[in-house]
Amino acid sequence: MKKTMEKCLKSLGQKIICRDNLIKCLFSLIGFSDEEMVQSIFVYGHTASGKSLVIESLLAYLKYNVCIINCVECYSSKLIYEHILNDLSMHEMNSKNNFTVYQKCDNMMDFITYLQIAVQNDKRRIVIVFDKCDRLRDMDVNLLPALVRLRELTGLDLCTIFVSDIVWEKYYSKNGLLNPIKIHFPQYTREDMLKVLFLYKPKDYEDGFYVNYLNLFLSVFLRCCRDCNELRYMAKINFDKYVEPVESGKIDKNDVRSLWRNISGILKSNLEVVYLRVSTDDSEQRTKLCQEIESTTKLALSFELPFYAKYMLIAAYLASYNPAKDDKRLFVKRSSKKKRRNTVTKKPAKLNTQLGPKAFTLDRMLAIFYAILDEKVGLTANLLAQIPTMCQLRLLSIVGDNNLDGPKYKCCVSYDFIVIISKTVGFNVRNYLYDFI
Amino acid sequence: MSKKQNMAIDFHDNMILLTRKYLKRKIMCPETKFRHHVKERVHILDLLKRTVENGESNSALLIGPRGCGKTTLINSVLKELSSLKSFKDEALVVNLHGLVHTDDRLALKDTTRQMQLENAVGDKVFGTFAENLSFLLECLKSGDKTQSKPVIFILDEFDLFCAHRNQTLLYNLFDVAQSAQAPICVLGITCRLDVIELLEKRVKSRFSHRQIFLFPGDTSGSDQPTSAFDDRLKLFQHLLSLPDDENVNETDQQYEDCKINPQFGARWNEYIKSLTENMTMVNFLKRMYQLDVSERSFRNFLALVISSLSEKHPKLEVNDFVEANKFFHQDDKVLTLQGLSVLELCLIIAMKHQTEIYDDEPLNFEMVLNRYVKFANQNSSIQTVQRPVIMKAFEHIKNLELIQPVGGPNTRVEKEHQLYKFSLGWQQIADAVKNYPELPTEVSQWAVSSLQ
Repeated sequence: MKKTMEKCLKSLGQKIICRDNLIKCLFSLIGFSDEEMVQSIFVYGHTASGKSLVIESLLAYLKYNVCIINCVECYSSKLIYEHILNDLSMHEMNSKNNFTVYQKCDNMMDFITYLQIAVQNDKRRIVIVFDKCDRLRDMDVNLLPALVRLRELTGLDLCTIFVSDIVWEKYYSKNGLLNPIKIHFPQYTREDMLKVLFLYKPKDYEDGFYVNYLNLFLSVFLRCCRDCNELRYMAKINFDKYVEPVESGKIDKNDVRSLWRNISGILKSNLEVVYLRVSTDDSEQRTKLCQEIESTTKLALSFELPFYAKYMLIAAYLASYNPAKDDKRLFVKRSSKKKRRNTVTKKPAKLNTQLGPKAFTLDRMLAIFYAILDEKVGLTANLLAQIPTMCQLRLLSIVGDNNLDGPKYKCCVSYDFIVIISKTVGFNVRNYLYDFI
Repeated sequence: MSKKQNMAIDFHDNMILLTRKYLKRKIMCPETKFRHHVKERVHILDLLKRTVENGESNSALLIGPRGCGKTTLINSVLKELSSLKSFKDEALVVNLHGLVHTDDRLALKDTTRQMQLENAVGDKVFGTFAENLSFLLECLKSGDKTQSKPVIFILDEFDLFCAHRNQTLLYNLFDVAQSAQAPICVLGITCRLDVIELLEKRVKSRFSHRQIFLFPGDTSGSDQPTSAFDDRLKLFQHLLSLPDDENVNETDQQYEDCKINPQFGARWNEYIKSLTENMTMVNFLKRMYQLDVSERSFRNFLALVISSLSEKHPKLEVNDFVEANKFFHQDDKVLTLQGLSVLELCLIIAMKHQTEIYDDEPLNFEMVLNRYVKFANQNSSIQTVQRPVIMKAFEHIKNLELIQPVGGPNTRVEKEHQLYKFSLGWQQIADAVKNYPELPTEVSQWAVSSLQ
């Protein structure tokens, strides 16, 4: 039976929606079994735009000799070669052959020879798919350029397909490589997304009801996230909340406005945890958990640092985000205040708080510590022991190799965090930050 | 009546598929009919012939930009030679490829295989590279000019062989060629014009310095000198035409399984000819030629156009060519940008403003966030989201490699403060913003100007 494009579209159309043009395009390049195939194809598009699904279903339909490789899974050229040889020669690793590979192979030359031998009795055409092919760049230098022209090198009826979400520009190397035919999978539009999400409709509800829900859902979520996988998950967990008042009979299921009022708050709060995948079954608990994870306040207070350690952390923060030359001006009482204005530069200088923490010496931190602390306290072992503790809590981090004479540290907490800490001891950090004065 | 009609349609459908098949094969197997570079072709043919027939040793380099037909030229020469009896019996061809034979040990191993010397090697186990090499050389040297078989070495991606340790393989091949021990011909193919500079001194001195340059758009070979673009137009017509009554003998056995009805062929050719006279088509091809002269990409382009033929779409329109061209000349980054969410696009715009204000200095998450929050606060209609969601959006942009980290990955910096270089042009962002469906107006206004 001849496989025409129409039949293929019809068969794949049952499973795949909104991708007809792309199926047509791919089919016209590799689908006609009596025509030459193109040497290589590069397929790119955002995550979850149906790249792998379309390619895999098309190849399954065409019944070619196919090998699909995930380049994250096969992280070295050796693994890739052996995987391809296993797949194309229909070799199966099992307990009978002690999980040995079809042929050990660790270079391109052997690979080509073995490949030619492995498929010599197989008349089917060969297609090799490299999923997440951006990883190929980190392997041997010759790997990617050779795979792009594998057809030319092996002389077999073969096509290589590369799948990635990164543009082809990023693959260029010093040695140059052939340009494959590029096919872009566009992101689903709002209407497409609605159709795709509708496929996952729970059974017991009417179509119209679920479409209404999806419209509300997308109006909130689509701005922040167009990743189909994530939207699918979010649509599923929020739907339970949406139908709750309908189930209990509080709201009529046709009363869209009340339903929206009921759900909008929940959707908005759940928007904050998109991608986070907090997993508890109880949604009540989940919201609480999410808020806890999100809130810096909770985090800052959860450490329950001792009084002096808090001051020490503030000192570390100030040391990290203030330039050392201004310490005198900031911390020495009775220093001249006139000088301050003269040093302001005209160009909108970047804020230190945005550039990230700088390393500081222990001496400097202790000096600031004593400057900001009103009461006298001796430099005891107990006090110093707070420093390694805070390092372990990842509030500070040690810079460089452990230099015993002059250890250097960096403060790793954010501005919000330090504001909360300083509030608990009644200290105003803003007064002492170079950026804010 | 209706049956007859059906038949006609069937016949027609079939013709289109055959046309597809025929043209695709013609476009994608360029060896069959090599055009131009006649002088260079004769030169190489002559070199190889002299090696095979007279036992001379030669070395040469074939240099030209990518996709201009270097390998095709060699293949067509070899194809022509292989029909000669003396060549088939006498000569050995060893094909080496810089991408495949990544070091001299592999190259030597494959040479042994291709020269069918495995039997001679027999049970001998070579401990070292040197032993193996000396054995091979022994085999090469054993004969003199009259006795031993001529060997033709073809080194594709020749520049990569130069990176091998000590250039041992090249040294030995050129040495044999120069000292005329056994008749061998070494042909290097490369796209690097400065390839001679890559050779070590001792290797360079053994090379014959015969460099043959191939440049695209060289039409000296054709009967009357024409401009480079006219030649491209001719190629266009040639590649898309079918065999018809006049040149039916053109079809050789390669196309046996696609017998095209000559009448249909004539009609088709007529149409293709009218295409080459169509002004829009000519201008379009001219613009393409100005961007890319390489013949390989042109062939790829035509293959794509041919792929759009089907029963429902039996004729090539100008629009098909324009559509196919999009595959090659669309801006991938703009397409990627259009697939981003509004939030992510806002971050991109924030990055653009940040780099503009600070003269291409690197940026980090905190700066971008600051700029975005300022924008969001001024426009009440933009729903603000929490920092982690924005962070996630930022990381997505990073993963798409639209921004590149500055400094190695081993520098221990928190991810909020890791510096990045922004690698998009303002035009790309403007294009993406323009084509983004249902983008809030505030965002598109913001994209144009950072002042709000």
